[in-house]
Amino acid sequence: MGVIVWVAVTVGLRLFILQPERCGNVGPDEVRGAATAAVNWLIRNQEADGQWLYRYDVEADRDLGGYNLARHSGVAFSLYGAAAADIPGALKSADRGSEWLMERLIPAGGGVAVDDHGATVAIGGSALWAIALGERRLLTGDDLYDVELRGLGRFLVSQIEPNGAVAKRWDPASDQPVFGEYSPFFTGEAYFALARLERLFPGEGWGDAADSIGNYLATERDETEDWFPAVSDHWGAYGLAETAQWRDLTPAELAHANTLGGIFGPQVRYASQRTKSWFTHLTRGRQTLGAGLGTLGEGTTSLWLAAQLEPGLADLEEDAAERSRCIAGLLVERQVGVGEAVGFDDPGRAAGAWFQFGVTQMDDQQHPLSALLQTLPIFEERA
Amino acid sequence: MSGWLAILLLTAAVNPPRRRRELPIDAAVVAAGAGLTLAVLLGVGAVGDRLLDTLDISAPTFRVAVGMVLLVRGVIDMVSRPPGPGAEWSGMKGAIVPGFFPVLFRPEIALTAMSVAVDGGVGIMSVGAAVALFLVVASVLWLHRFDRALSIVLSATLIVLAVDRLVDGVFAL
Repeated sequence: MGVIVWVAVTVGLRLFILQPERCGNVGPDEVRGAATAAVNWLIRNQEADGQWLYRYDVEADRDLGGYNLARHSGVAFSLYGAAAADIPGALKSADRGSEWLMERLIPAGGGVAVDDHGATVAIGGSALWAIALGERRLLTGDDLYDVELRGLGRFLVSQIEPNGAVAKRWDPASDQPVFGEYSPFFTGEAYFALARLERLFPGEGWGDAADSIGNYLATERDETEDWFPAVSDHWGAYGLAETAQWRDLTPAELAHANTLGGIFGPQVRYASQRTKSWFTHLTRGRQTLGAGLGTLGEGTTSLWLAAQLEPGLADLEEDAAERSRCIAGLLVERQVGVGEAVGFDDPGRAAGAWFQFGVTQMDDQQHPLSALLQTLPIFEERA
Repeated sequence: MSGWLAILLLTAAVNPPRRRRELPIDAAVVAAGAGLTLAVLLGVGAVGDRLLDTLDISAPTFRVAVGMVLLVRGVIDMVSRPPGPGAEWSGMKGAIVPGFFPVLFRPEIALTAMSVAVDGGVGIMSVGAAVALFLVVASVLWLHRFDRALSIVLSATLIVLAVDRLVDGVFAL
């Protein structure tokens, strides 16, 4: 009987609970190479007007159409980050994307917003473009877009409710936020954008607005907005890391960082157990989107950065680094390489991208690119 | 992991009053079995980190697995009567069967020892295991009443600690 119990426990655990976490074994060269390949995909697949290929079926070699302003702005942010990592061509491509956004600005909330031509305007595109322009400002020191950056900031501030919640949409008819409607991600995006504005332009009051959102995220967002399970908020993690650049985090923010760690960690471990085999498909589900993996990496790398800056998060540093390296390994492994791409009808639309069921979307490049770039300092510190 | 938690966890996993019913009545044989078990657990603890690395298992995932096993064990121990003595080798060889195996070197005890060693270090694990196994010998020597009640208390404690391990593992970065 004792032998049977031993065998049942060990075999059962290995099959169902302790499946291998296959993170790969990559170094900074592979990570930089994958980031460069993603940048090159975005450069090759940018239209003359500055838009990027939105959604593409590699097996049918078909442009699936559609577009999303928030993702456009997000790609610009990732490319400015790539430019900061000295990846050739990234700055030019990002600037072309910014020029496209410039043509869509409208007065809103005492500032400016990116118009998505809906009856009401979602704020994600504006928040992410503010983040992107902030990244550009940090990188270049160029004040070319400062007017727009501050205008976007004023618009985001106008969307903040008294408790720190951020309205998801703005109503052009009344020039007011649409109260009572929230996004799981726009709030964190506004937080990050305003925290970055405080870093760029201290003393102009951006920090107070960022703090209001940060405190709301840390203390009541999931309950008030009824998010269950709690939001896996990589933008919130960015916001915490950005805030740690210009002040110490509060106890509530430290606790929130730990909570976010507890949300990202199990997802990373679970994602790393998923393979293409029928067994892990059955027991762990399908492999996640490139965008999904990327956001996890953005979250863990942001926590790692926050831990570098904030002694109160020192306990997170090692685990955040390990999970970030794991995500980087998974991204490198799952990216379509040049060799694999030649097997498709249009290798230029395949190489450097992440596909699920043969389809990729621009954010499948955006989030992995940012995650890979933010993992580079972790590898460099280890080296 | 603190030393106190390690002692409590390993003692609850071993559950000395319950194990007493399955062991020989000769305390010297039991002590020898406990010593052998401690030696093997030290080995398990020492190779724990390397074993998990080799099998591509992270410490939090392992904590989840240990929590699940301990939860099942705790519930079974709580609701079932302890089994009586099983097959037994004669004389001091009884330290091996049933002392070491199958009574003391059990999956939940080995897994707990490895988890404590991975999270808190082999030193803490060895203290916790030594205390737990000493209590097994003490139970055989001196515990003649209330063993069922004490066993239930330890099972309940194990369930609580198992849930703690589970939650700690699931929500770890």
